[in-house]
Amino acid sequence: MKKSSPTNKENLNESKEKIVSVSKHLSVNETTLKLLIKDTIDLVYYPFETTDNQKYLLVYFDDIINKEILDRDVIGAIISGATDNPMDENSNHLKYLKSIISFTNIKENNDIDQIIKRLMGGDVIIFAQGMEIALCLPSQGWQQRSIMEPEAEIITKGPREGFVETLKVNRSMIRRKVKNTSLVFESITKGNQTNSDINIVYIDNLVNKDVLALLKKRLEKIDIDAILDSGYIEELIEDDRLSPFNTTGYTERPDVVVGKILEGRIGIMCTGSPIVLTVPHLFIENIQVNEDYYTGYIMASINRGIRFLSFLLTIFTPGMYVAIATNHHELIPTKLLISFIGSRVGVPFPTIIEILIMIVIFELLRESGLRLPKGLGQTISIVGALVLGQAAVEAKFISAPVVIIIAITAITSFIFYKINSLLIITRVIIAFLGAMFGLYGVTLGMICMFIYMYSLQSFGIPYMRYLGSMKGQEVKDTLVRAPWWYMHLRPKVLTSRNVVREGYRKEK
Amino acid sequence: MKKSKVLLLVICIIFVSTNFIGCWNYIDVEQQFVVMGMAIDFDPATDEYIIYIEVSKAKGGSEAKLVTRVGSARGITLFDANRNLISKIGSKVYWGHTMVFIVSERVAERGLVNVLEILIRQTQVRSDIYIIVVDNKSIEKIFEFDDPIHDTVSQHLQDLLKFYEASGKYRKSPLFTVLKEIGSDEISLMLPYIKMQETKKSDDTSGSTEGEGEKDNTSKENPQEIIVTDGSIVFNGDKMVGKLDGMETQSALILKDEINNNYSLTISNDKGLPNCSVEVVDSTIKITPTIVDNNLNIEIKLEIEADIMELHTKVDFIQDEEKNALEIGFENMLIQQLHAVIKKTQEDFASDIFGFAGYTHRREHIFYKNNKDNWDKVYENANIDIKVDVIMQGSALTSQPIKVGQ
Repeated sequence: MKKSSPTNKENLNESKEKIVSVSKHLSVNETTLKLLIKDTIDLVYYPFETTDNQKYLLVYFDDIINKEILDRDVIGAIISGATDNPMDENSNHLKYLKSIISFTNIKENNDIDQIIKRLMGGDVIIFAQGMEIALCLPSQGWQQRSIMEPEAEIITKGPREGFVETLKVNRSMIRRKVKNTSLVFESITKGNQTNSDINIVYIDNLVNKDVLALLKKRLEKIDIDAILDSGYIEELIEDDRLSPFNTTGYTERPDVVVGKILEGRIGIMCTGSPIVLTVPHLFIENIQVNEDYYTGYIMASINRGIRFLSFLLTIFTPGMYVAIATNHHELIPTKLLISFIGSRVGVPFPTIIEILIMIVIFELLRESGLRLPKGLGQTISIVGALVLGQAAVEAKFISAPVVIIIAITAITSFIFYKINSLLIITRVIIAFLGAMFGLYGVTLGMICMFIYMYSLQSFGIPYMRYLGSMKGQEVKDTLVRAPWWYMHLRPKVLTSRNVVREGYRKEK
Repeated sequence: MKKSKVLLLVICIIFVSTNFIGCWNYIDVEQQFVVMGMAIDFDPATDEYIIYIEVSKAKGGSEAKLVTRVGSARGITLFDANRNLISKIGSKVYWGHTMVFIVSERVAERGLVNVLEILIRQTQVRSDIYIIVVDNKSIEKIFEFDDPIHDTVSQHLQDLLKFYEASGKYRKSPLFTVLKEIGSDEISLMLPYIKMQETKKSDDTSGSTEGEGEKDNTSKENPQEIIVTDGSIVFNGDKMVGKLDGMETQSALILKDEINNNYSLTISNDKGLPNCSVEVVDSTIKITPTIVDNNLNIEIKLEIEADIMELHTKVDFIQDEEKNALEIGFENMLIQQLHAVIKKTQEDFASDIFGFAGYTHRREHIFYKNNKDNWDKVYENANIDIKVDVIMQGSALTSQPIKVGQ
């Protein structure tokens, strides 16, 4: 691809030797730009002349600027300025221009490279005849989605706003929540074709500097054509790229991001995506939900327990069932055994095949239901419930207990939709182990899984940190959510320098 | 290159470990023929064991139905008979859920050890399987008993033994207890005894048996045979030496301290007392062996707290005087019954089913050591001294008998 059509960057590099800066002559500037930017209908070159015979060239992308501002505050200002207050021949053109244009944050630039970048970002560029500097006017304006509650992260109690696709708006949502002099946004541009903006956000006096340095290093290393969503970044900066376990977290909610950066984590925002990544990401974050902190600590702790139980159930239920139903008949109470036998009689497949068929069918249902237009959603549930729940059992295609087992697996897996890939893989492996070695295999699988999980790291922080600890301040926000008055310290590994939360200091 | 070698090694290990370690025991549930119960008889003519098994299997569908099949086979050993059974049943059977193991009197007389052997060597059989003795005539048809309440005869028997404490007239006998008592020098084995009994329309089961009481209306003309318990079988070593009836079994169980609440005591109106039943709330027994003139003297102190459950009189027996009379009536009855059962085991069986040897071992160590080898003789001549104290502590929900108006 790269060889057949030279990229923007290569193009720039070729011409850099000839022309690097803005010329005095408008026509030269125009030719340069036309050479560097392929002819496109949304790019506008607008030359005009004022009454005092000054020639100007405006260059902008028509669709990503605010036309009203351009007409009124730029062209209007220059034309009327020339009439009312024509430029002195001796005076500085640049100073003159700045004095008549009513616009803030005007950037002067004479590097064509930089100018093109700003042009792409939605700036209006003004070239003036005889001036070796161009003015860049940030006048971005485009339609954007309004701020809504993210559909993927519904909560019942708590703030409703969610991120949108525009970085500026997203930044504003965070800045509004953290009125703190230490809150820092940094920008990096990545994507050889798309030149996407990536922002990282952190609180300078809380962040773990090692993690920050590591993150910046990894972001710098990114060399990819396009970044259309933060998911691209997620895959490129993970510690163990082959692992099904996610070592970066993500959210669409500003309150979650703020909560995370207040614990010393770093948020990564990407233009065009409402998904904000947070690193480092520990396993326990899969079990934590922002609502835990808004509802009372008792309810939150109960929910945590349920979520952890669900994590175990969703992975181990099929495996346990296969193990017991095929290897350990003595473990089943006699009456249940008889009922198992009754349900299995006439079913043509072995139990493990039944389980696998049902796992696949469930994943099919999930996948097809996910991308279905809303009106069709019901169809899937009817097909799922009737075909699988009833007809399959009555037709002796699948035995009834397997349907129940898969139902439990499915219900519990929805709690962890963010790590679904991991769940599917481990579930199938454990089911196979259960079929082969019985409970011995399931236990072995469980041990191996936990050893693997304990070996993982997220940006140098152990993935399973705080799980397995017995210290009060370390377990306070893991399987239970301790009351706020008990959470004196911030997570130590994340904020190594500044661990004490405010309330504790005052108390002391 | 190196990575592919590691991968190859991992695949090899997985392949070998899954196929050759012998852990692979994958059997789908519907392939299991679950043996619910097993009965064993001995045929002296051919010197063969005969086994009868009750196999259960569920018929499929949304309403799973239990299908039970009874099969029988012969063999010189039980294992042999078991294998011969395959050709009759059509499948290998599964012992993991077997509930009862029934032996005939003939087998019990020959000795239990030979037949229990297979239960402890087999990996599948549970150690809490119940061992029951059945009378010789009933063994063939024991599994043909059609119980309308339970799905299988074995379940019926298992339930029956579960409520031994409330009945008090038979014993619960899981395999581990049986093995412990057979192997012990200090106690002799006692097993529950059942038999099939014909019930006619107005038949009443005799007082000593625990009748099931249900009468099937459909078989009015063909009187049905039902399973009833009939006391216990007493062993000496692993060989059967005699029987105890239901009441004797109750007395024996009180002495063994195996029942200590929930069971009932009933007095009949022969000694000026009304018919009365009490439910025992708590009974504690204290057995103290002493040596008098190199002779064993066993002192038994039984304390019973009971609630009056039924009183066939209009007189209020809750008052002190009447209550005392009632208490004394029960005490005398118990003393008589306990004496009778001990005497029977001493004289007829010479079998120490109460574990008096154990008490002696603990309290009179030297005496026991000297007389260990001829304990049966010592036991036969032992002097028994029984003291019973019955306390009527309550009268269930009412304090008055039902009042009859003029």
